[in-house]
Amino acid sequence: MRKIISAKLISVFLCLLLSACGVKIQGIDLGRVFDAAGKVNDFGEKEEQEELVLGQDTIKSLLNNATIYPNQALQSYVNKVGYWLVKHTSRPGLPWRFMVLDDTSVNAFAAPGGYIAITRGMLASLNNEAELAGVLAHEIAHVVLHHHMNALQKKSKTGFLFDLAVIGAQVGNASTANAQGDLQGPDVSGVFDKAVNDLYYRGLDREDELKADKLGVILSAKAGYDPYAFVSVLQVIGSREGREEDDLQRFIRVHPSAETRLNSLESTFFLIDSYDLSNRVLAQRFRAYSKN
Amino acid sequence: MMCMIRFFTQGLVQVLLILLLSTFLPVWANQDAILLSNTPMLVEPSSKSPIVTQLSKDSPVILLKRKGGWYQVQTQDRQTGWLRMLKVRFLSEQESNDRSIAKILRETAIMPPASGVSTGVRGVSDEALNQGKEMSPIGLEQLENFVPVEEEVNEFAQEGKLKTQENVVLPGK
Repeated sequence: MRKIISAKLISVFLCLLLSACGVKIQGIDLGRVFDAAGKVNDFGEKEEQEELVLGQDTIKSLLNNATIYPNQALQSYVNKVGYWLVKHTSRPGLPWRFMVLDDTSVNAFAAPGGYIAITRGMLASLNNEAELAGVLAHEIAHVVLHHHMNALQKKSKTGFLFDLAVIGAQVGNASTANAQGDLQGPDVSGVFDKAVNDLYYRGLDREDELKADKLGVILSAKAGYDPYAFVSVLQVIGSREGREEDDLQRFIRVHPSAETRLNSLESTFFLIDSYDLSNRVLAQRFRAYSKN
Repeated sequence: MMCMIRFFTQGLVQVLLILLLSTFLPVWANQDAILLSNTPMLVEPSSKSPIVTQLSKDSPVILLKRKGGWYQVQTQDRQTGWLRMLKVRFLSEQESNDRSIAKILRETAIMPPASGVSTGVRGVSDEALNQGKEMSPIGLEQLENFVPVEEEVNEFAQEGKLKTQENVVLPGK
C-alpha cells in the first residue's frame, strides 16, 4: 500500500515537474503521458489503437535478439493458417501478423495487437497443419483475451512498469515522426525493452495459459482442424520436460507443465467430443509447405 | 552368388521401405506411454465400442496410431486396442530405457522404429525447413507482404477442405 502511494506521489510529482518544464522526448509530452498512465483504470479501457502501438513496440523489442526466417513461402503459409483461424475469433479485424523466427529453440509467443511468432524449431517439431493450427490458436487466444495487456496493467499497480511501457511505445512511435528539437530517449527505450523482456522471460500467469489452451482448442475445432492435434503437441513436450534441453528451456519456463495443461483441457474435450467435427489434419500440405 | 545378390537386394528394399515409412511417421508413433488411470481398452475408437480388456494405472503401452481423440495402442501382452488420448502420458527417453518391458515391446513392435528414437521432437527436419530458404532478410515492416487477402484465405481453406464448424460456439461470442 505504502509502495503504491509512494509510486503515485512520485508520478504526480514527475507529472507536475515535466508539464511545468514542457519536457518532451522525441515528440512525446511526458507530462501528459504520466498523467494518463497515473490513472490505472484508464489502462483497462485502452483503445485498440493504443494496443496496436504498444504491440508494435513490444514486438520490436522482442525482435532485437531474433530475426525473421527468410523463407517467404513458409511465412505466407503460416499467415494463411493464422488468418483462417482469426477469421473465427471475436477480433478478426486486428492487423494480425504471423511470423516464423529463425530460431532453433522450440517456442511460440504473442504480442498485443495481433503479433504471433513461432520459431522454426517449433515448426520442425510439428507433424501436421492441425498441430500448427493448435499452437497458433493458443497464441491467438492470448491476444483475443488481452492477456499481455492485462499483465502490463497488473504490473502498473506495483510500480512504474506500465508508465515506462507507454513511454517506450510512444518513443517508438514518435521515432519515425518529426521530432525537431526534442531530446533523445535511449534510456527510456532501454527501460521499456527491459520491462518487456521481463514479462516474456517470466511468462504470463498460469491461469492465462490454461485459458488460452481452452480457447485455442475450441478455435481450432471451429476452424475445422482436429483439436486433438494440440494434445499431441503437449504430450510430446511433456515427455521432454525432465531433460536438460536448451532448445525447450524457454518454452518450459514460461508455461505450466504439460500434465497440468492436459488435465485442465479435459473438460474442454468433453465438450468437443459432443460435436460432430470434420477434424482435418493436413499432414501432407504441412510437409509440402515446410519443405517448400 | 545369385542368392546372395537377391538376399542383399531384398534387405536393401526393406531398409529403404522402413526409412521411407519412418520419414512420414508422426513423432508419437511407436512412442512408449503409461496409463494415467484405470482405463478400458476398446476395440474401436468410440466410447460405444466393446472392451478388449481393462488396463490399470501405470500400465505400459506403445502408441501405434492416432484417430481423433484416440490412440491405437499395443499392451505388454501384445493385445491391441484404443485408448482416449488424454488417458496416457508419454514416457521420456530415460523412462523408456528404464522400463525393460516397454523396451522389449518397442523392439518387437509392429510399426517400424521412428529413426531409432522412441521419443523426442522430430516432425519436419531442420534440413527440410532449410530447403528453399531465401536468403534476403525480412524486416518487421515486410510482414505485411505475407498477409493474405480474404479470397486467398478462403481458397486456402477450400484446398484443405477446411470448413467452419457452425455447431462449435466460441466462449463469450
